[in-house]
Amino acid sequence: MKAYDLADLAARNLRQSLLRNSLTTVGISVGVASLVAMLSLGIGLQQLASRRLQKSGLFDTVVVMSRRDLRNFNREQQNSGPAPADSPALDEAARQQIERLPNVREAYPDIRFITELRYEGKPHLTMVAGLPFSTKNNDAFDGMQGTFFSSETAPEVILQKAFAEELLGKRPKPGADEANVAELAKPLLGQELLMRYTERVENPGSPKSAGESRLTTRNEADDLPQASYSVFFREQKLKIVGLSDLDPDSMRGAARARVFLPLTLAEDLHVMQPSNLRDTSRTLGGSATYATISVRVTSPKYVQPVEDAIRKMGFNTFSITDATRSLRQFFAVLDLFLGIFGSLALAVASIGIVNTLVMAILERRREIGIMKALGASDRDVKKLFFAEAGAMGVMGGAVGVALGWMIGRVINVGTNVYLRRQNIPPEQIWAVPWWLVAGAIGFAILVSLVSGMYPAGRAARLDPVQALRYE
Amino acid sequence: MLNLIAGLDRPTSGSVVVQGSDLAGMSREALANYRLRTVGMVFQSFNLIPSMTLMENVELPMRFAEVDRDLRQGLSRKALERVGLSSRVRHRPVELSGGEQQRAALARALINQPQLLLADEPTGNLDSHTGTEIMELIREFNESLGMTVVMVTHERALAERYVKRMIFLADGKLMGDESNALANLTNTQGVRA
Repeated sequence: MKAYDLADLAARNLRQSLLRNSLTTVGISVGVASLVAMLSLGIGLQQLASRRLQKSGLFDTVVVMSRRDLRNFNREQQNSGPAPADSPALDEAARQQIERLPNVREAYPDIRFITELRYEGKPHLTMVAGLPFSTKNNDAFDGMQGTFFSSETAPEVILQKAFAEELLGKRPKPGADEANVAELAKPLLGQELLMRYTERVENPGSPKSAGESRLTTRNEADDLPQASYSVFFREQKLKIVGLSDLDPDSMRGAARARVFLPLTLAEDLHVMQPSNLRDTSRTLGGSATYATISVRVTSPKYVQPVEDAIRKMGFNTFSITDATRSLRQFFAVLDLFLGIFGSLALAVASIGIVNTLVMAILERRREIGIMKALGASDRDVKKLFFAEAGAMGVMGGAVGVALGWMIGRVINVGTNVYLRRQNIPPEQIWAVPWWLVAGAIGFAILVSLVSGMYPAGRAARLDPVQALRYE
Repeated sequence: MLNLIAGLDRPTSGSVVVQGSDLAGMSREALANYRLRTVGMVFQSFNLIPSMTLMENVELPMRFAEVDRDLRQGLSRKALERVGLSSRVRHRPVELSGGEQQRAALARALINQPQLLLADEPTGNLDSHTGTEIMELIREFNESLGMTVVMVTHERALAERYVKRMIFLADGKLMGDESNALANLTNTQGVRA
């Protein structure tokens, strides 16, 4: 039989018992809808989680340390690679070299120092950190009052909440709620702080680059004065532009300070770093080195190759890639479970298809007998029943996807209403990618055809003599 | 017996040879094709599909024969014209009289130009006047289209008026075989049962 004849006859038969076939199709729709709704939420949550992780900057960051440093906490790295004394220095040249690696978005030094800030004449001692301009897009500063730095060298600061409390002379009462950031921000935004710091100035004749510094490892007393620099006492006025509610003890590297400066400004100030003094006592050369460099890669999947490349350069590295891997695993299992639960309804619907078609055989017994007497082959009859099952699958799949899409949407809207009541910004926790639509309809058709196998086989084997005798 | 010749049933023993091939040895697929192209069937109870119009009923065997859609309409209209139903092509079987239904069934049986027409008591459900009409039609097609007609009937008088050879069966046994003296056998197909 030709395809259009098959479709025509199948459609005619489906119309014959419209109510029953519609109900069966509704059954499939409900099954597909539950599958789509479940998976759309699973996929949506996964996308939300990976969006969040991407934004947090945790999973696309590699922290680079010098092997000369004492801060080696990874035994494996300790025991492989060049000896600490022979390894390269983590200085500006190394930073530029790392930044030129493929898939590296940026590499910035971790600049931090403890110093005194004066507010209304009173001194406050605290940790100050340089903040790269790209942090603007991180969610770390989502709950910030005021604005981010106006430029990369603007003499501006963002304060951490606890430090703001200290400046205003407020003490958090035990048991009381956390201070409101907005309240703290009001008197502070736009005010000035005076930062006192020590500037490191290279002495003339001192080598500047890492390459030249190698020469100084020769143990000649005459070379030693080359590794020298002067330290000057400076003051810098800073304007308070923002107030962050971040917890200073959270694990984000750059956030572990109470006052933040634009990173480029911090670099330009040449503030004496704690590691500088330590380096001076060693015959390493005169150029300034960094304690650590943070490298941001373009995508979390490039963390491993970039780490490998940096290790090959002779540095130690650290990243949290394992966490993303186990997260992906978790969502794969979650999707599997959601899919299984979603498919349960479809399994029930498939029994409905079998039932409907078996009923149709009983009803159309005589008709099948006539068709066979007129020359329809077993295959024609089988194909006809498959076409009917497939048509119910297509319709049920299409309606089910639409229904599931709506259910997912409603759940999303409902969740967001709840989130808004809890003062949490709304989130997209639901996603219907095109492959889910195609997959769900395809799966519905597949389930329908499998369900149609038994009735179709039974109809095809029907004895025409018996069927024609049947009244 | 007709079921055996039509290839709807298989003999438990012996053979059914039509046009030189033994139906007992044919596959189900080959039998379906045989029913489609070689034989046409007319039943006592007409066996038209009630949900289809006459036109669609007549078209049905051509669907199985994979005749082009554009071609089918013309052919089935012509076939219905031939049996005098040109004004009823859009009617459904229930809207027609028994004689009209049987004529439509005849048109359907002949649509794929079979060499063998099997009629199972075609007049059994009709009054004698309409029965005669149907028999006249069958004779006409037998002569104009040149196919063999095998008919089963209880009405000996009716049979005697039209047939060229009569075979008597009772309780599955052959009781007699007589050729009509007036007939000159025009067909060459041998039918054994």
